[in-house]
Amino acid sequence: MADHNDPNAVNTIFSDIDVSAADLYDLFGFPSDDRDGGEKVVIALTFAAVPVAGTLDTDMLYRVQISPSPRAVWPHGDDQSLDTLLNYFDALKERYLGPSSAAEIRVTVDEAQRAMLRFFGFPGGDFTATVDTNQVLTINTPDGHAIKTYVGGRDDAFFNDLTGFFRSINYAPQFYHVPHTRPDLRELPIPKTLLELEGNDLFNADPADPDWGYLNVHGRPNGSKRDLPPGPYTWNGNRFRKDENGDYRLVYSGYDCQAGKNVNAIVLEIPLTFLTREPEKDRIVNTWGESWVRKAAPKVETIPDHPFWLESPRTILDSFRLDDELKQYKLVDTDGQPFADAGFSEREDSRQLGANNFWLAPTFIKRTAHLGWGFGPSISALGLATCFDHDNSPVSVHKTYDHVLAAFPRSKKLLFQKLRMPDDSWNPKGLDIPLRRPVEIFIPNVCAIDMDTTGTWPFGRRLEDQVANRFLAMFLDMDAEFNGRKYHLELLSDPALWQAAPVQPKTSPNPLHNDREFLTEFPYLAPPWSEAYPK
Amino acid sequence: MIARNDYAAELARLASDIDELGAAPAAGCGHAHRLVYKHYQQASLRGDYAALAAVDETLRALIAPERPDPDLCYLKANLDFKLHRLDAVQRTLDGCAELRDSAPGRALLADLALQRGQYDQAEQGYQDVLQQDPSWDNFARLAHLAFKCGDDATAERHFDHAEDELTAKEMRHYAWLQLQRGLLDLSRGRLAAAREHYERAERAYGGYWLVAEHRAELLAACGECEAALAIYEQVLAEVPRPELLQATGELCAHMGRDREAEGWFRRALEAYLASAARGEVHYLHHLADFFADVREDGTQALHWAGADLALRENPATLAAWAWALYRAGRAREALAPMQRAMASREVDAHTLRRAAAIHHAAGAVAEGERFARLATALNPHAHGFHVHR
Repeated sequence: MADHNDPNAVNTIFSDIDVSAADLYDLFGFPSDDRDGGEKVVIALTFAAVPVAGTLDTDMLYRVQISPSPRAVWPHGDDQSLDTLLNYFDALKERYLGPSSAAEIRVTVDEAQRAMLRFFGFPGGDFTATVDTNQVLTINTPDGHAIKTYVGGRDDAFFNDLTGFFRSINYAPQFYHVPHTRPDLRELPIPKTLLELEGNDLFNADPADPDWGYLNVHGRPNGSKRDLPPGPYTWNGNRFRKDENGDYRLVYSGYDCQAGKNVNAIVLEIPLTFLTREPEKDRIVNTWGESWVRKAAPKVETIPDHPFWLESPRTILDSFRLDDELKQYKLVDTDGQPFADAGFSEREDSRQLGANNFWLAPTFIKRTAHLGWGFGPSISALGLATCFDHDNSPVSVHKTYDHVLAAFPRSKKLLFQKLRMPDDSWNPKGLDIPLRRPVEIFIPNVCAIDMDTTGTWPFGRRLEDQVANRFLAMFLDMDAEFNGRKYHLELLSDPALWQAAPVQPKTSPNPLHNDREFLTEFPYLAPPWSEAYPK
Repeated sequence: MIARNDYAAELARLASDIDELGAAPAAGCGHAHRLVYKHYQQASLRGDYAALAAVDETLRALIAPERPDPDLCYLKANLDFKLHRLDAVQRTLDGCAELRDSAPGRALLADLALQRGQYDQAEQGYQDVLQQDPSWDNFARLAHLAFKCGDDATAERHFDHAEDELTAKEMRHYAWLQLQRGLLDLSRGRLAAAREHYERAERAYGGYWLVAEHRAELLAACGECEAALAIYEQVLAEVPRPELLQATGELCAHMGRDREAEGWFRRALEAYLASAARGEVHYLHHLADFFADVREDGTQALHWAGADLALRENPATLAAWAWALYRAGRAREALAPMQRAMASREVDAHTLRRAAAIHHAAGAVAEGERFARLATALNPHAHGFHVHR
């Protein structure tokens, strides 16, 4: 009669199952400065240091996917129509679902903490190499290339005021104990904003409790979360908060919440000629990472395939690509572009589609407009120009969209505008390389490394890039000028801007440097912090 | 390679977590919630009802009636479910709209419908929740319902989906699923298939008493009674639950060791009655079964079956009531409740065998033979050793 059916086993809501080794943090990719022996590309996939930095989870499988291609020139000129956008997405489908699927490097670690790297789909043929973890090693490929490899613990190369970011999007779990049963109370329906909203007591910084929201952040010993007060969880004010001097208050503090933290990482330095037979033509190295966790059944034994694989949209997609090994794993996370998840995909598991995120194009457009209503008025209040059409709203607005047709006109400039670089250093060869547009950057969700550039974001992603500030800069109007210069992606990292703006603190929203100096040689990421590293 | 005693390792982790949380200064509700959840998990894992009662007390103190926390209410509702306190589950859900309207809350409402014999409503509820939350446990719920209704193909399909959602970080859940699949096979007389599932459960999550006691039942059903008895004795040394004492007694009786059996039965009955004396209701159905089949005491069986029926009217409790009437020599009266049980979607070989006996005794011989044939068709081994769950 199935009485005493064990409810403990049908209770996942409080699950404290540790799957965080699947939590991908960042994907870095840039042309190596070391050109000895030819061009090489550096790719670094970082993820949670679980169990600890330097020891990897043996149930995980990481994929670094790579698809070299010629540099595409945006074929639509300055046309900013929805048709243009849809045509662009259609073209991507052909490219990413077509027969020329990406090559990949698949990484697993065994019980002895030896990493097995399997190379699939590269011009020189498939092969496997097994290496020790936590060591810089060279893998010699069958076709005579040398690939530098490091799999193991490093310092987290991300430097960012995550608390500030979560404050800007009113992400409650950073500040409150949010019931597991209430996923709807994570991102609260309060306007996104760069400036504190008057009366937004749920999220405005508390001078009497400066470490609130900085739980488990190095250097913030009193870091805390609070009990979630009763609702309503909305905001009914009508202006940004000003202090006694008439200055606004930035929701960011510039504090590096990742300081002192470690990651595990897969770092590779790969000759371009290993990736493509036409290195002169394939100047873009598209790459993205995925984490997969082993399913329960294969851990016990191999079981026959199930008809399950043909029953959901994502599975249909997978069924064309998954091999027998991947069927034994479950996709958890993907990483191509910074903030693609947190900013544009609302962190939903079902949206982990990586390069195939063109499925999510409508969501991307609607989410862009949603963010624009938050950040656009904040930018205007600072006296800066925004590319988002917010009808001159004096304050941030919480607005969501059901239909792309309504959202698109608001955000079309944001989607299509060329993102100006601060100077020409990104293009050392002085080639005619077009500036990138947000829509190209985030769909597909890949790190598209331009081998003729330095690889600084968005032409890849270098370790030293302050990508959070650059992400926010996408909401600026690149046609506007500050101090006689056109706006550019580094503007929000310019101290002069904050000195001039009516805001406190007069600091960059995010830290400008990593807590540990990067190395000038492979593996480039700084060594891990010893206190968290196994002795 | 999987460590042999995953159960012990998990208990050790839980104890360590509890120590750590207990030593840490309380910091907001998150701390208290984690601690009570760890205690709940520990008690559940051990099958320790006394510890669950302590968790229940903690939860009562933590849940503020004026603003009940949905997470704590969820724990409380699960705990009440475990203890068959269906009215309490309903009250908790009614008192916390945040939980009631959430996916886990709606799954619990569907569970309630199932316990109340409202199978169509339960199925609709599970389907709705699954749309929003296609998690392994919601697939398992649908599988369980299909299993009860005799729709094995659907049950297996949902079990497949549930399995596919589980990762290597959830091996205990995987083992539990294997037990459910094994039970399905066992209830259809597919003993070899059941054994495979139980062995897989053991490989997935070694050392778990719940897996062991399922294996013991299967071994006994296969005629490997000495091995089964040894396992029961091992399990009882760690988890002296009365239903396991009864099962051990029944195995001894099955083996012809009546004196030994009586020892186990006495202990089981003592524990059942002590539980009932405390006002607990989760052993009512065991008491009904015990008096009906072990003692063949119709009066007592009716008392306890009636109490359980008052708690939840479903095909199982109706059938138990009918069986108690039969034991009390009131076979003709037993026809009505048994026919109501038979009219439901639930299909169970043991219930069919009881229906056959009741109909025979009431003079409805043809109907009785029909039920007997159905029982044999569903499970050719239904007459063999089995445990009342």
